Amino acid sequence: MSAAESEWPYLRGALVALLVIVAVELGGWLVYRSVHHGTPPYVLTVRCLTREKHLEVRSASDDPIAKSARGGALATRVEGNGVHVAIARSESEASRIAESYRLVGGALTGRLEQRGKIVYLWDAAASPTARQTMYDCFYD
Amino acid sequence: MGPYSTGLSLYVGNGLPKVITDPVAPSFRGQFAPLAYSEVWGDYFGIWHWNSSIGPPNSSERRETVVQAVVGLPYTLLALAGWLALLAVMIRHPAAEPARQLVALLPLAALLGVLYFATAYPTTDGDTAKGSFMLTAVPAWAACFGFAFDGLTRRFPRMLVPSVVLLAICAGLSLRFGLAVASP
Repeated sequence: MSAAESEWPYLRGALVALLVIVAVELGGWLVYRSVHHGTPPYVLTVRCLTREKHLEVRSASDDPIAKSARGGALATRVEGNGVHVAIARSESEASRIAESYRLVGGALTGRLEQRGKIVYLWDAAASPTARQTMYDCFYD
Repeated sequence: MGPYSTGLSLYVGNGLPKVITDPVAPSFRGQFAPLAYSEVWGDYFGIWHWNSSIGPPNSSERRETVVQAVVGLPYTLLALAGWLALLAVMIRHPAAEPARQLVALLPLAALLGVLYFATAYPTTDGDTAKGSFMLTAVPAWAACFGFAFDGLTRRFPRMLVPSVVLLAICAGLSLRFGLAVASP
């Protein structure tokens, strides 16, 4: 028996084991998906900011524009700079929120930023590292 | 890997479907296997192909990471199959061909090393599970892939041409990604 022939049962076993693992992973995911309907971006964002960035998160109740976001709104402080986060359900809604901020506060250069469905409004121009902190918890 | 990763999800999380559809941070954060896969084939943390310091990847950059996640599948599956087979051969015949034992043990050592580093020195964003930390095992993974590919095509010679074509296409796409990263 050649080496290739004697090794084939091991390779076949490995391929079968791998296919079983892939099938179980896919099946498990399909079952999980049918039971859970996805965690909303607001919950993921709050969880990330508090658990991973160790930031204190509060509601943006003093910001009627952020509060109007259909996905929720929150406020926190990064490197001493306060930021309001409005989570829209669509990019057009996020654009409307950003436009509302501009109507009230002008250009808001360096303070206002829209990323996909998320709108950030900083108290003062945000540093790159402060923005990075928020990007790390970007879910849309 | 931070508070997310202290639970079972670190070890069993598969990151589906985002390991294919959105293989960049912060998807499946704190899940070792999809994070390691995305780091090996793509750019999970936004260091090489996209720049995480200026925000999430744009649609073109995101699409490229998705392509990488797809083209990595056949190589990864074959390499894993070859590795498992070589491990089994090593266990059943421990005295035979010591050189092969090195091929089987090096990927295991690399995986355990990265897993240990990720759990013993946790960070808030999981960046201790970088693909570059497993570079030393790449030659052994390549040998595992070759072992599986050779075994399969010897057993099923008709698979040779289609699989070479498929793998060549995947390699070409991956090379494009690599060259784009090397010359930004």
